Amino acid sequence: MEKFRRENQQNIKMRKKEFFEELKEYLIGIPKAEKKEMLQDYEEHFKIGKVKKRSESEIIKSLGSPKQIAREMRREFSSSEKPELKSEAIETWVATKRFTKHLFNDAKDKISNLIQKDGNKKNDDFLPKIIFGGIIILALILIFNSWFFRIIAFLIIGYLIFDYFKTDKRNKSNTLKRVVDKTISKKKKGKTSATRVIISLAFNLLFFIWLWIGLFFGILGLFIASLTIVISGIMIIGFGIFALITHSNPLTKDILFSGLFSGIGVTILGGLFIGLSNLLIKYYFKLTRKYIQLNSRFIRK
Amino acid sequence: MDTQFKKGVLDICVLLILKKKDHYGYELVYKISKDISITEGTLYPILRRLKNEGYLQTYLKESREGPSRKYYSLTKKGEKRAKELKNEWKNFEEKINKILK
Repeated sequence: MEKFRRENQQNIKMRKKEFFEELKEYLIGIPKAEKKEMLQDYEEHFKIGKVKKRSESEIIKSLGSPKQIAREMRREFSSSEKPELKSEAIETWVATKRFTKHLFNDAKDKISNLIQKDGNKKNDDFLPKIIFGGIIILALILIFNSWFFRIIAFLIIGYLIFDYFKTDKRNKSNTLKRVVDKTISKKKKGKTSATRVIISLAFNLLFFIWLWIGLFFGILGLFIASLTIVISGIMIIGFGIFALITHSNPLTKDILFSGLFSGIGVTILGGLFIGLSNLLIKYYFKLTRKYIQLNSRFIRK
Repeated sequence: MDTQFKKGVLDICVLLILKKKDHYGYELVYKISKDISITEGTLYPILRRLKNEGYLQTYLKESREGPSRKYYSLTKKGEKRAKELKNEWKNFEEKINKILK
């Protein structure tokens, strides 16, 4: 009973705290001095109300909602010509802020539930895998926005789900798990933190993924460009040989020879570029693997 | 009661109550909100505004129970304003009564 009472008191205290937090949230645009003094007044109101044997929830109820109070204050103190309009705008902003916060907390709870539920039975690395897979698929859909990629994305997602349930039933490792075991570091200690998962998710989705895709297409572009250089080199060689065979004028022979050699030079240059892009793509994949490892280490405290 | 109408009356209520006796915030707010159904919280900004306009002044006074309290009292300007508003209200009341008859 004592414990219950204490908990109940805490609950009420939370409500008072919430009241002030909410009030402060809505008091955007009220001069600082006014704000400070008003908050002091309400603090005093609470204290005296308590002396008068009113419960905190009663006091909160009689004070009215923070939104209402803020509206009143804005009407009295705001320099704005249309305080009502300003109130509307601020209320919308606060509502949006709260909704985002709610979403964030909700997602955090869900992810930490997922981790706690699966943490014992399943491989802890399963989550980063799903997240990274999801991010890549989403980014591809966003970039190309074509039916082809949507179908591929659905196939991949379908396979992921199928794979997940298959593992669940037989309690064996699946292909994806094996792949991830290879890529993600061997260290299995440490708990996965939901906040860090969200941070990593946000960072990757907002920033990293675009860099990653951009880099990939940059290297792909280099590869294609070097391929065309090789092709044009070969064409120059072919044209030189063809011209040497068909024309027998000794005056133009020198020019044709120089053309032939420049063709060989261009081909070699193209070959070098192909080698370079191959090297780059190799390092690119290596770095990607390292980056995923870094992330998986990051999300574990 | 209509809120716009109520708002106009609130200044009069605050000034006339304070004319009789100094009150501390809680007491004043409680008294007014009991008679005119208005939430207590929305009265504090009005008190603050009246103070800024120079009709009210405040002072702190120790209390036997709980923390020291912020008391509100009328200034000279406030007393004058209270008188004016009272007369205005009486005129208004007479006219309304005529219409109601």
